[in-house]
Amino acid sequence: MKISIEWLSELLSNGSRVRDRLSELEERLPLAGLEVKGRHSQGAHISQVRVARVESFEKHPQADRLRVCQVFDGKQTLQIVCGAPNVRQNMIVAMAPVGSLLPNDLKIEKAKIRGVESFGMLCSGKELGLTDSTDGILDLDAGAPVGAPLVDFLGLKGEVWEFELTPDRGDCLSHLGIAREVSRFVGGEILVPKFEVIDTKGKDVALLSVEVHEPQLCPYYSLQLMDGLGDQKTPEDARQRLESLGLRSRSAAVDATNWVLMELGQPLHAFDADEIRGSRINVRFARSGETLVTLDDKTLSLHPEDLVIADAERPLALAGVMGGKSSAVKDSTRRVVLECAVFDPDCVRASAKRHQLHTDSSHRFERRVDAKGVELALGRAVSLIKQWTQGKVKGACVVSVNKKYGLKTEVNPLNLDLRYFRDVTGLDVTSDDLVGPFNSMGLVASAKSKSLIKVDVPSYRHDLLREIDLVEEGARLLGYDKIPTSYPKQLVATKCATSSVADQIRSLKRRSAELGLTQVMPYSFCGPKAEAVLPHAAWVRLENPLSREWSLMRPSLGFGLLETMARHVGLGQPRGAFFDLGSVFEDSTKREEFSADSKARKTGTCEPLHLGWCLLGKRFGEHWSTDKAGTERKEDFDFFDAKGVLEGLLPNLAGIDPRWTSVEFQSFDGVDEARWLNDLSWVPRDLLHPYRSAVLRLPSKSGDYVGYVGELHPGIRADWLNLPTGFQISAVLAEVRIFGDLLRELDSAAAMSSSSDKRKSFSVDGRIRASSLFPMVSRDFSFVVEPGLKASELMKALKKALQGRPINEVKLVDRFVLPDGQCSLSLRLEMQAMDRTLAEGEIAEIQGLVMTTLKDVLKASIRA
Amino acid sequence: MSILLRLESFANEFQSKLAVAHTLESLEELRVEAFGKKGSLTEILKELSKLSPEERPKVGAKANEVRESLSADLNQKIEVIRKKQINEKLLSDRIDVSLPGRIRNPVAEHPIEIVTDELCHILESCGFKIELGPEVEHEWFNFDALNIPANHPARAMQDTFYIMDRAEKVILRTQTSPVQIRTMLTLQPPIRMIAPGRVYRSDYDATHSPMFHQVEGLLVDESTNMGDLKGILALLVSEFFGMDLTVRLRPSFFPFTEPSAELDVQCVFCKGEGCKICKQSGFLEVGGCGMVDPEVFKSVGVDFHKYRGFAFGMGVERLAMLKYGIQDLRSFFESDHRFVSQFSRFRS
Repeated sequence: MKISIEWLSELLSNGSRVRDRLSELEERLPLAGLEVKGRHSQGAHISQVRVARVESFEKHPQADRLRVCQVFDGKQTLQIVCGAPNVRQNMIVAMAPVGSLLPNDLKIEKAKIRGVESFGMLCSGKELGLTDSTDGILDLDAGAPVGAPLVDFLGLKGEVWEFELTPDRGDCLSHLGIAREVSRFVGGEILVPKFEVIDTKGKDVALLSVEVHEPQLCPYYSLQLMDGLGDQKTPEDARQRLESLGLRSRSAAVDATNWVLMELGQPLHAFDADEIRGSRINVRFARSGETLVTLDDKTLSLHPEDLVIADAERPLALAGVMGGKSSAVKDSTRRVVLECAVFDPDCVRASAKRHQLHTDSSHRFERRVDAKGVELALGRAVSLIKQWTQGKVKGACVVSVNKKYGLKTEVNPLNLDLRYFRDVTGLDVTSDDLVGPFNSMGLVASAKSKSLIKVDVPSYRHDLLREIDLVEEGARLLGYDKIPTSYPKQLVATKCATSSVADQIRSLKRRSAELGLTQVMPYSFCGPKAEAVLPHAAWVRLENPLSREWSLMRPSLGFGLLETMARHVGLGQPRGAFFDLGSVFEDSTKREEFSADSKARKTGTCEPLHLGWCLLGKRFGEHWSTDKAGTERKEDFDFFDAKGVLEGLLPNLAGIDPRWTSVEFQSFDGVDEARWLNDLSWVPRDLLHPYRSAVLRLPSKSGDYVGYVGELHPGIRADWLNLPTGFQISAVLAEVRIFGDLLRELDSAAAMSSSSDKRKSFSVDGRIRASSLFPMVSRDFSFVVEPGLKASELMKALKKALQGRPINEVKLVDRFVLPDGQCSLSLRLEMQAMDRTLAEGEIAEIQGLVMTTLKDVLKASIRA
Repeated sequence: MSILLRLESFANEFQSKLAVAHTLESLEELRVEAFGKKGSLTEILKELSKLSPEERPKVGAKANEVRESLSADLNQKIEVIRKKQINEKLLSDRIDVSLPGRIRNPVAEHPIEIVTDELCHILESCGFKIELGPEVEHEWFNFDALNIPANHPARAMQDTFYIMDRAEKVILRTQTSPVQIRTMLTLQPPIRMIAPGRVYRSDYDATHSPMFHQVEGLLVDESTNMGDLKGILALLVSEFFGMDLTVRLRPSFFPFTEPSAELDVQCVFCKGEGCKICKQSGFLEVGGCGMVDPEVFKSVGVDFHKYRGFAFGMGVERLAMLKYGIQDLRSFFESDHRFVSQFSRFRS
């Protein structure tokens, strides 16, 4: 909100002190809760721009859209090339001469434009920072003095404060409101501007009547007819002042309403009385199909919940937001009807939002106006119109008041207990410390006892309704800097509900980084391209997305990781290992257990926590020592790198040590289709290589699928990674579900933290094995098996055969495929007992068991 | 020839052979030739038995003396050659230590993670515990319970994303404050909690991201006041920025706190002198705070006559930008390892 410092000073008996203390006030007002965004000297940026006249113009010989104008600047005629479509002969324009500097550091120089010399620039309102309009150059009044500085003509010389106010301080949205705050610092009285006393009881000829159909949305409505308006214009200084605050001067009556809005904060509207059909004004809801053409020529299709001001036939204005064009006051208007009302904040907000019309009027109604100030505001407007146009009041003011709808015109009596004040703020004060500051703000405060202050809150302070509000007001007036710094006294360790979940998340992130993955945080949104990949996922959709590409909540971290990889390809950095850990989203409204119970405040959304990672390009960066003869294949990241990451994470993830507890990796073709549609609906199966990918199943639970690891499908790689044609790169994607729903996890953590059993429910392997001090013996076995034999089957068979034997570990140490397709494997068996050195006989026996198993069970042929 | 003479000539011969032996192999040959089972000295010593008992000890002693002395010479020479060989080997193994080493990827956590963790660690040391909540929220937790009724202007302050197809209004949380509500509904006071997390607002330009992060703190007990809030915040920012900084509370408005304040920190760049970054004010705005509004306590059933509380919230991106001098908000979400990997050095 803009505040003219000159105007502000006029409202204060000590107004002259304002100008002397600008910097001090700019420091003190923010510390009282009124944020000063800046002080502008109006027109400082455009001081060199002059009023000029277009003598003549012709089309540019080389460019259809350019004009070559001869412009008279009061002394000489200059040739200026201009691209605006609205140039015409004798137009009065704003001209920036050569050497001037415009806003945005645009420096005007002598230039040749398509071969024609140009000595300056004709400016649009936007280029000068005056208006937002870009349709052509500024079209000034015909009477503007050619040659004069533009700022003088527009009256842009005063200084203006730009305030950014919090929504609770509707009372400060005017010069009067700011004056009340400033008076505290400069002293003196508020000078209430001159106003006409309005006759609201008059039984004069009923020229107009009002019917308020929705009194709950319009508790106060008044109309005053004025006639005999002359065609005088708003006085120059008033016009300039309004322009300096960004209000375009129109007719005198409209200027008067704007003046009152700025001065007192009460929005008013002026109708052309001769355009009102019938004599009754209705304040009612819009009817279906009704439209309103606004002052700025937009046609609004009205909504049945829009409150409108209507005559006998049609809506004239959108209540509290904007007037219509049909009844707008024109220069020729001789009779006006002034409206001064109180509209319901929510109703105005809804209409303003619905039609995207945020106006000075709606802004103030939304933040509540002073119901006690309405008569003063109307009287002030009447007084200005009389003064500016010789208009006269005609008849009595027509008023409709409905006090039962929360129209606050009386003071609100409150008590403030100083002990409460001290307990909340830490400030130990006496009643004397607060009564003075309260009174300086127009609150009527008096000490009732040693520790109690009675405060009468004036009607305009909508933010002071409770004792706690007075605590804030008192602290604000004394200054928050007076609050002494202290520390919480209670040192007892507090309980926690869910921090165990946070701890687990933290350690997983740390561990992922330690495994060499770089953390990324792509947006949680995705779009139709992702949706096409997962048609069966339970998508969570945004009602008001920023774009179609960001209209869905991610059901998998895979898409963000794919984007991450694509980005690195695009950056020419096609190598890396990344992870993301965070929530994914699933619609749960269609699940059986979901019921939309408003008391339960359910969101109908599950938030599983996922950890995902991806590996792109070469496993190792280029290094001077790398064996350049090594085959391409071995240097690229593949399935097993990503699987290795998972195995490294398993202890943190699920309390599993993969050396001892097997986790099942299942090929895609081994998974039931029903599973794909249900518990795996979030897995981007179609983006993965069907035979170089796996889903992961945890051993403990009932065969729950918890993740996937897979190389990208060669068919989609170029598209999803934005690969240049002919460019090949390896990419692996993996993701695991840490838990199925954050809220449920938090609830069970909270339940757990209040019970004595703190063990994690999924801790699979709680034992710690002692390390043997006796020698370890290892034996290697080399053999050939059929290609169909899976490593997991081999291991399973051996483990079964060696059950109960002193075995440390069975490792696969070599594997290669022979020309005939058979598979040559080498195993290393590590034997060690806790309590003895193994005897030769025992070793031989174990070796024998292995050989038998290999030969008989696995049909392997032992190599020499 | 007497044994003594033979010993002498053996010794002379040995010495002359030793002088020309320069490899470990030839020295070993010499040893075998001289001292082996069939060696020259063994042959000579066989003659000892032919001597008289008087002469035998004398000559035997002499023979031992010769053996010891020659062996020592031989061993010494072996040692010299070994050393020489080792030195040659070491020299030939010489590397250029200035060549680049093999780096494993350094631990690279996201700056948002690092800043969030740091804030949490500082507050955890003050007895606050981390609490979490969902990102998709029922609007009651995000607004109503926080004294932001429908149509309140404060709802318009935070442009909210709504979830489609829900019977009730379900949103992406616009702040971490709903975690306060969830925690107060779960735990009885005293409460000290921090809620770090991701929040969303439908705003996207150079200085706004539709997704960003906050850290929120709440303390509820029977005796706390605004001075404690100041104390905790001063401690938090001083620890976080690693220098003694003063904080300034500036009156403001939030529906869920009363009194409410903006949290300003003494400018970390100019130490309050006034610079371009703090726009000459000497202070930087880093968050909002205040005393929990009684309406909030009412909505979660905490006795507001008995308990008081303070709450504060800060933007993680903002703090990270200030601490690390990051210019562009978007860099946090662009997933560029050249950006993220730089932060491994800031991990405490």
